[in-house]
Amino acid sequence: MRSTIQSALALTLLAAPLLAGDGRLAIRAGKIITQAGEAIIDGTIVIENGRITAVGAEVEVPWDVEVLDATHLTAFPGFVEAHGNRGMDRPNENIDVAPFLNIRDSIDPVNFYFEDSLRWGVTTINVQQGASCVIGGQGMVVKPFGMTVEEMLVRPASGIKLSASPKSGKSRATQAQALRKAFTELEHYLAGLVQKQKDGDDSARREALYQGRDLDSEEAREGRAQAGSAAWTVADLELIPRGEIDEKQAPLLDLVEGRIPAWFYCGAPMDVRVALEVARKNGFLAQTTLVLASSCWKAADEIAEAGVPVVLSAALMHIERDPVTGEEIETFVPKVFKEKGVRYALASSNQSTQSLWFQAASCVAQGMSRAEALAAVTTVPADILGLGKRVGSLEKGKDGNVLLLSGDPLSVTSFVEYVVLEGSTVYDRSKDVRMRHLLEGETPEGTAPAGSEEPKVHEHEDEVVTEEEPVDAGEDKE
Amino acid sequence: MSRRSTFNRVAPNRVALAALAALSIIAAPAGAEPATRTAPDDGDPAAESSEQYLINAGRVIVRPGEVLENVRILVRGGSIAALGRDVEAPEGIEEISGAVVCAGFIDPWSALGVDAGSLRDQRTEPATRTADAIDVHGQRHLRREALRAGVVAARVQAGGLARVGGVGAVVRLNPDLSAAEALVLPDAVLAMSVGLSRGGGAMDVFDRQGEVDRVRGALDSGLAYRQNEVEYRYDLEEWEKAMAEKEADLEKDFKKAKKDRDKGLAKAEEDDKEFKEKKYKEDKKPRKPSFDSNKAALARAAHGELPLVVQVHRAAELRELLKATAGVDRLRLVLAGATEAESVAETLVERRVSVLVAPSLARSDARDEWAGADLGLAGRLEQAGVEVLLGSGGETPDLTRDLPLLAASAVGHGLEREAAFEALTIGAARSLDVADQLGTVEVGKSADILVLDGAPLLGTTSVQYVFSAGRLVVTPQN
Amino acid sequence: MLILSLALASLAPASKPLAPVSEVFAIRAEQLHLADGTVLENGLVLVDGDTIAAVGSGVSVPAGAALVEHAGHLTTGLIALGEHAGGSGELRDSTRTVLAGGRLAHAFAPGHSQLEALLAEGITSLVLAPSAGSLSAGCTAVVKSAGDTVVSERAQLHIGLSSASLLSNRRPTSYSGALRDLEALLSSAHGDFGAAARGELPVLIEARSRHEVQRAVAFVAEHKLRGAISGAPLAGELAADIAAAGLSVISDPRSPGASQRSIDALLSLAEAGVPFGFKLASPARHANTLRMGVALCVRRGLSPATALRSLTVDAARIAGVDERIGALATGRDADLVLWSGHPTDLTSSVKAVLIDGQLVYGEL
Repeated sequence: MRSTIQSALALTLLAAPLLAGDGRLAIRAGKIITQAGEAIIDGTIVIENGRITAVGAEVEVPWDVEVLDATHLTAFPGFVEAHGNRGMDRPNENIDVAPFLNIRDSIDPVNFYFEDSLRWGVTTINVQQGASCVIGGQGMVVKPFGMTVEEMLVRPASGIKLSASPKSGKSRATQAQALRKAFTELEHYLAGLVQKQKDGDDSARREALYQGRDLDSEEAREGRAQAGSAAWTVADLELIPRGEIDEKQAPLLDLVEGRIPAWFYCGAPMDVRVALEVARKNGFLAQTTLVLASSCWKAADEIAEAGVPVVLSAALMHIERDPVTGEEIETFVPKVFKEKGVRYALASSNQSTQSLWFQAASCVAQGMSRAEALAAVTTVPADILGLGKRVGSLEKGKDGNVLLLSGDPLSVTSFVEYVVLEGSTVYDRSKDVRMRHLLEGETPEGTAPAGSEEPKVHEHEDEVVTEEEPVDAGEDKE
Repeated sequence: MSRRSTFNRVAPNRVALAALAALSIIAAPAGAEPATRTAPDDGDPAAESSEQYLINAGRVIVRPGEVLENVRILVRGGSIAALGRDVEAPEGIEEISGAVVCAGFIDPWSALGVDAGSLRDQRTEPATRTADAIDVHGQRHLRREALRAGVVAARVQAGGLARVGGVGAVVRLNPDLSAAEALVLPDAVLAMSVGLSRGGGAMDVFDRQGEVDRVRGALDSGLAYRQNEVEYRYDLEEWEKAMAEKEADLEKDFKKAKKDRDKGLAKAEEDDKEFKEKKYKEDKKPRKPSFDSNKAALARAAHGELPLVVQVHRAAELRELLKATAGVDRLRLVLAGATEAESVAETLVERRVSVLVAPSLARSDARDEWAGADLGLAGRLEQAGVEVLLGSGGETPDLTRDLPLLAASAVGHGLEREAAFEALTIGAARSLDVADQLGTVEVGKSADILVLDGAPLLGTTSVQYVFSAGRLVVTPQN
Repeated sequence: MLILSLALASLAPASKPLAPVSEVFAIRAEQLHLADGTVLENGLVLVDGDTIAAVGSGVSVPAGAALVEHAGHLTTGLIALGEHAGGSGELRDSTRTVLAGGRLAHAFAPGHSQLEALLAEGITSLVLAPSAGSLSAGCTAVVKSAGDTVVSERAQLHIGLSSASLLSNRRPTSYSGALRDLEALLSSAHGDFGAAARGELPVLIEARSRHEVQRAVAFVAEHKLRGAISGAPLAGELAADIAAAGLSVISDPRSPGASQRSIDALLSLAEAGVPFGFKLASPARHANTLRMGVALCVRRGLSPATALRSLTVDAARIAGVDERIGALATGRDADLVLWSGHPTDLTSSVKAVLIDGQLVYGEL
């Protein structure tokens, strides 16, 4: 409770002087890493209406645009988190199949996670509901800034979460059974609707014949035939207007028709096969991204064959013990996928210290190239999210999401000094209250770090002492 | 502790195979018998293994009791392509010599290669498929060891220890196969158990009887479901016929009906009264029974399309179970465990119920239902005329490798050697409905065969080569 | 040859009356297994009373002596080390960590049903050993599985140097404490410990893990003891050290499902020339486990002859009773097993078992 209030307080403090919210900004940076070509030294980025209108070394800045002097800093596109499950308030449902749930109802804008994301430079986040589910709800892509979910919205309906890994109370066999059952029930439901419609039409026709009525020419039904590449098709689905389809089943139909992306979680290599089979059979393989646990590198061949992209877990090094010799075997997961030609995006760990930059740096530490590592946290996740034209690099026409770093993006000593979201400076480290308290011990006026004024309650119940200052050798005690 | 990073599988030992090419060919005496049989050249060779081998065998045990001397076997395209004295050796083919060739062993009660959680799941349903829980990535060394011991395939069961298990699958144990290649029969048997105390307290008599009733009840619900389907189809046909006739009649009378109606409408306008349409009544369409995957699976078992394996030990439950299932005519019952089956041996012989024995050296914790190891059980049952199968017990994956040794122990305690060999090969294949692919050495069958240096199941005999789906997976070198 | 009868043994439940064949008789078997590994075809054993009078191919059968023809294999009775059959509750004193002068022979219950299970597997002698949990529970005893013969009531001195020997509620609770106590006992020079220190009595040292085995080897070398290490599944990985110390190994039972690594460890022992035998620990383990362990080794490449030795002559040597049992040789006890096939082949069944010249199982 207290921390929520304080974070809200802090956010307000951060936000107030900085929301020069007209989406127009020019940034002069000492170095601009665009992720779309060579780095630019001493360049300028111009953002108007939230979009980058120019980026380069010799750029003309309109006279009325505010200039952010970052000539001592490095500009970098905001990191893109392709799949996350933090930032929600009471996210998980207990029912097996809940595709009708939408995350807009559970995203919590003041969740500490979003505030922290700005510190680490993550500017685009796909929040997916349903960490423990068979078929979970629908997620959305947000930016970690805004007082309401609507303000945070970047793209709604970013996809439905499915899981081949069993939720609690299930085993893999029963989880797969529930997955298949969901789609079989959809098929039966739709077939039932169609049949009911047809039966009704037939009956109505006979009634009219009996009554000697000319049947009114049929109004154009607003339904659509089943689209997509599923292995099963419900004939004559065009007889059913889409609005008549139960809202609990409609999102699944959208999934089957390939209209929404799918995020399929696999907790073990054997889950990959089930996930790909279910996706293929039900027509959404082309829209599927697999979200993998670290052991799933063993299924890399199958994944490469299916041609789907993956989001890797935060644990990049998979360690297991050889059952015969007892030796420890370490496998660096991103390397495996690179070898097999699978597109992969990195994900932050739930520990706030291992955000996307750290994952990318780990890849470089293990011998992968900078370009590969940085792409896995910017352009690749942007593509996977279908936002490749909007985020992931600093190019003309893309969203003005810029990080200003005190050093190289992969260096552990770099700080995120400023974050610009769609042309507005939403984070300024010099005004970051928590950071300053942590690093410098400062407590700016009007804010109080959590816990400093809480009464100290001692063990002995009859002696509740509230102290405002540290006790000084008991002299001042009564 | 040494650490090695790896993400490459080890390729089969091609050097060893090259060495085989130097072996001399056993001269095939020109004789009248046996006739050389060749498989028709159908099937997609690219789909199966592209390896081919020629085996020069001193003796081939085609099936128990049928032995051929000095023949050659051509393995190609995953199956036994030719068998006989005059089989031609294509240029450059790998040649292997061996004293005895026989079918690979099958463990019809195994826990190897399936996800452990699914094995132990107590909440499986008849429609849960073990094929979804096959783990091709795990237990690789155990499966390789099983192959080396001559066990080429196994039945695995989700919910193997549950009251109601799922649909079991027959898989090849070769760890280099994909799931699709490994699955010999994805939906092979249905499994249940009666009277297992599962580590809790002893069950009382009424609970035990209740479990038998539940088995019968489940089968009955399956029968009823199928019956409903059949009746529905019949009723639907009748109704559709009637409706077609009715519609034809209505169309005939339409003109008249229309005239009458116009007259009626005019009259109503005259009288300034509301026109009431004629009431139309028709027989309701028969309601389609809702799809129930569990009942559908039970129906398959009740109609004998899938064998039903019931794990049960005590004489009382065995008697009750046999009584309760006596009325289900086409049921193919297999009793697993059946420690006290001798008491019902006559009924078993009469009703052709097989018994799946797990020869074991283990002590039982649940003395109430299972007195513990009885190596002589298989022999005694076989002598009473019951068809005996041998399995490793379905709880410990490691035991599948040692099934041949346990079978040998059973032989040492009274089981006929031929019966043991039959149980491990064609007996298991027949009970699991995979006899078209496994269990004997015949042209057209899948090449899952062993090359031994002596008679099978002898202590002095060792396995020299093992073929799995036509690929050479075990050689004396590895 | 004295048969030691103990006062307590006479209080044991009356053993089954044994069926004598005749005073002098002979058995001719198609395959007769001698201690050195040779197999005599149509070899003959001549039994006089409870002893083997002669063994060989050309042994003449005296007039009036019955001659049994056996179409199968004949061996001496198998020996199970580390046994608990019939001894429930008597295998360890739970209050004393060192039971100086303790005799496991007191736990012998002739005629107990658990002993009968051993006969069906061809096991004629067993070494009663203590269960884990004490530093020294006394001396193991070698007894026969039928009748009331105690072959030796002071076979090996038990020493527990594994973590299972150390309990937390009783001294010693640490390895150092255990070693100190043992050294004190060994230097006392009287009783069983004195005999062991002088090399007169072999020791049985319990050790489980790798470093426990190394500690045991060092202990034996330091105090110039002789004997065997018991209970280390991967002892074979230290085969060279064990061989150098002149020790033998008593292997844990190997059941189906045993890891290849543990089987390979036994093969390493054989390669290094370390004699080993098998613990059975029935009734917790099925009696067939003895032959199963051997079959697992043979499948992995151990020669059947070495495998048979581990159940007969090597086991007898480890228990210090190789002058009485463990081989088909003149003067040894007439403990014989008639098999349908090779004894290390699991498909062979036991046709008959004789102990001290009496038929105790099966038919001739």
